[in-house]
Amino acid sequence: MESSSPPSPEIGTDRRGFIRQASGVVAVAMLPHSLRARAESAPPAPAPSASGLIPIMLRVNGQDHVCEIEARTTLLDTLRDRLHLPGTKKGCDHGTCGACTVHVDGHRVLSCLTLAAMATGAEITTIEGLAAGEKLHPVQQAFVDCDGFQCGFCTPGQIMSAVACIREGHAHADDEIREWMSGNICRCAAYPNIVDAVKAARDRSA
Amino acid sequence: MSDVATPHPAPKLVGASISRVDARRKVTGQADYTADYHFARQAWAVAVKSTIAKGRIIALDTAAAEKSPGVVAVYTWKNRPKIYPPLKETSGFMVAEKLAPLGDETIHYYGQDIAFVVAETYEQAREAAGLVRPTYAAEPAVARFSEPKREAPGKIYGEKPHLEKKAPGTASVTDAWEASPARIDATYITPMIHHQPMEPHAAIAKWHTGRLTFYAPVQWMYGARNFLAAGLAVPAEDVRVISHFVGGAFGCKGSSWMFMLVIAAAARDLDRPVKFVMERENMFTSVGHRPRTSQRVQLGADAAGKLQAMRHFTESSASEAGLFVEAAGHRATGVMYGSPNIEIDHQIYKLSVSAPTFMRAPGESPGVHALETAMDELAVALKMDPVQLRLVNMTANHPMSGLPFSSRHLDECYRVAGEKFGWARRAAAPRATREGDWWVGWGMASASYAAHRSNAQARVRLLADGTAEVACASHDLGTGTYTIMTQTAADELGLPLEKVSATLGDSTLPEAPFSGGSQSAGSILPAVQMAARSVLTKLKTLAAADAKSPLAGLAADDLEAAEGGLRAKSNPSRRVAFAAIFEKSGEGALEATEKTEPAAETKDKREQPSYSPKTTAYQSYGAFFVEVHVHRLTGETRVKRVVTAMDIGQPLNLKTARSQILGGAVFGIGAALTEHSLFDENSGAWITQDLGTYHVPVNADVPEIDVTFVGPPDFKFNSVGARGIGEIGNTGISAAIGNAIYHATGVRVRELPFTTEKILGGLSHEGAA
Ligand code: FES
Ligand code: FES
Repeated sequence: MESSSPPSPEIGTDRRGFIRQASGVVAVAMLPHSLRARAESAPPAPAPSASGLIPIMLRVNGQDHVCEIEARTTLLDTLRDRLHLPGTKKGCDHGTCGACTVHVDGHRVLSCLTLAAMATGAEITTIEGLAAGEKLHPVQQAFVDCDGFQCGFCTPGQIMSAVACIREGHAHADDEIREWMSGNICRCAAYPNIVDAVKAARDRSA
Repeated sequence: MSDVATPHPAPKLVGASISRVDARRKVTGQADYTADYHFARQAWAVAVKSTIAKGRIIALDTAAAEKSPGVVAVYTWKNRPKIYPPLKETSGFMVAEKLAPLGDETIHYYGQDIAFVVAETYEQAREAAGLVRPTYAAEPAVARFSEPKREAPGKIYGEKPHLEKKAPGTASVTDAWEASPARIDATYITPMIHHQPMEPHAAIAKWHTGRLTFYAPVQWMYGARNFLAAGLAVPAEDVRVISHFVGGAFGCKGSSWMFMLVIAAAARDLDRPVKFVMERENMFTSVGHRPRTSQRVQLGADAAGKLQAMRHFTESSASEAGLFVEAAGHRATGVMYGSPNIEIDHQIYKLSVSAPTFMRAPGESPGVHALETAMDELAVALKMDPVQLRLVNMTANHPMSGLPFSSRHLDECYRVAGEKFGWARRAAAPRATREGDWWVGWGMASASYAAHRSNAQARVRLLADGTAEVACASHDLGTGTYTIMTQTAADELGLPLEKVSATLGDSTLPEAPFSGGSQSAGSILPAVQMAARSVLTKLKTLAAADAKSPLAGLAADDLEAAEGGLRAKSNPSRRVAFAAIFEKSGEGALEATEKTEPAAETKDKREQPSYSPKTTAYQSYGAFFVEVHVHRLTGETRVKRVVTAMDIGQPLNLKTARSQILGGAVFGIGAALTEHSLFDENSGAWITQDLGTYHVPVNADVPEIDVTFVGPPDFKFNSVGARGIGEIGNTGISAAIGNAIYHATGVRVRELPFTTEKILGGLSHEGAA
């Protein structure tokens, strides 16, 4: 899980990386490791029913959810519209803003560029699953304390990225944090406060 | 009027640094934005857009779309659901685009809505939208900026497009300019740019027994309500607009847009809720942009730098669909420095483009950019320090109207920010400092934004359990409205923050004005104070009437609210808890709704002090000091350091106020370095239609930003002393960056954004060694 490599060009991990490869084609080789493994080893997907829907099971925030979706449905739309977990936001729907960032097996992933069917069997974490009951996750608390947002729309994505950024070991220096948090746009521009929040959370959890 | 000097009670929370009261909801994903709502039987709508900028649709084949799985309806101009588009603005709402939605077969701009597809799911609606086949008879678009004739717009914020002030005996401002020993004559271009809040526009319409509930992120609850009522021909009371959280707006959610009517009418037609979330690409075609400006600025000064003449002539783009005016000269040269001769002019020209609209600091942002760049050029011409040049041109009175400012501390902004920045160590000459491959430059500029107030109402309710609620139909765009309303009510009622809750974003609440022009806080908080004071007056009467109360017989003026109860001012140990007063009186709650009417304040002394725009000028000022590094080979510019001081009156919450300035400043960094909505001057199409090609700043583009507030509270403006803060941060900083680039490299770029090719051209010209 630890990695010190530069931003990888994998889909779902990083806005700039995505822009670099920019084809928009979801090839197995570009998937995050966990998804790639699943795509290679998973049994063939169940055949769509007469309605064109396929049944899937998603494990989100420690709970299993069964639903029927069209094969083309993204993880983002499935979370928001089928599982009614609207905390994850849609800012662009094509990998350029980071608002839809969730964790799949601990890695940050852009859920708008991930088909829901590719995430079956994975451990998915969304903003709704971060706090331990009433107790906020240290990153959430740091965002509150440092005013790491204004309108709050990008915030779920920022926080999911920030948790991963610290976990990946990309939160040592301010410039490193800025770089590794640059896949998440904040038009309100809470950026300096987001850097402060990441540092505060890093130090608290260290 | 004694309250003016000592607001009662002394504020404890207002002005402090306090985390947002809605923070927990925002960090846990519980804040409810429009698109987060989901209703039983809801259908999804997707818009189909024109791909030409001018012409007619000669055929629109919807057969395949209609047969596509899940499709419920395909609406075009031929079967438009019942709409009565209100194309004329009234005082009750604003519309930027004055075209009937799905009006007829005529195309006025690229990206115009030509059909709406409604289906059971988003995926189905989107697929079917792609199956709608238009055939066009295209006409040449009016797309070249130089092509359309220039024309004078109507009034600009109540002023004439041409303004002139001349010293006695001066024949013309041009004469005065020509007679000046030092002169600058330069033209500055600012491109079209887009708001792009992170939350796209959205709407959910739900009808029940002839009444509409409409969820949408808007900047004006009553405006949206009145617009919908007019456009759907229903009484305003039958429309409820809900906007609990708005995911950023920056102006593009201020006007009501015609798609809102289509969604509401479709829901009525289909008798089921209809949901619409605008795709990011359509945020570039359909909900406004900042116009392009070309600004000729002429400055004339004497040898000591004292301005003798200022001319600021602006041309801004507009649309056949809407005539918004980006009033650069009026809002910049009209307010900044003293000069005996000032001439300001504005012309617009109409393109085949979607309607522009106000964007954060409309007028000021491009206008201050041009003026403050010209001032830097004048300082260079005079071999004067840029701060010194500005200091010799300070004015205590409004440059055009001559009215005294309520409070103006611009010189203090220069001093405080300049000292923090270390400006005194700046090398006078450009191209003096290099670190490795990077030229280092320091630049500065002034910032300015007008202070506005409008009528506002607020309701305060104190409950028997010692908690309170404060409410009005304003909203929180990220501005911190929930928090400052809570602080204000808590201070007035003598309650801790946790005991007060704020409710916003519902058009059934007491009326609040349009959240624009940085006017919300300054308009609604005085109403919150008044409502809280009215509640206390009722409570004091109850307490004093109770013969057994320790406060029995005391006059209302002798009592104050503190620590969850009332107490005697003269003897704080004589006190009664709110709960005890309620219990004794049997009241369950006390409530008051109050209204402030700034225009009437000279007559109505209840709300001190008197706001009087006829006799006083209200304007905020600030200063930006910036360090940039410019790569000597690539021309890449990085902003390394920003120090700003802002004279905005009372900052209501240091934490959220600072964030507002950060946000404005970063908007300015984007405008300076990267943001440019490319518009094809052949076809009239937008070229940049996603956040991958339209570059808003990301975290790595933003350095530390040091914000200081200077100047006293402005109690001549309102009873909270605050002039508004949402927009001033986006004025001046782009000029400061450009001035720093000049200082770094000796290259003066007069067209935004300062992208590498523009700087590089100058660098190689100057010899890049
Ligand atoms: S990156 Fe997924 S919504 Fe923008
Ligand atoms: S808080 Fe508004 S976009 Fe980040």
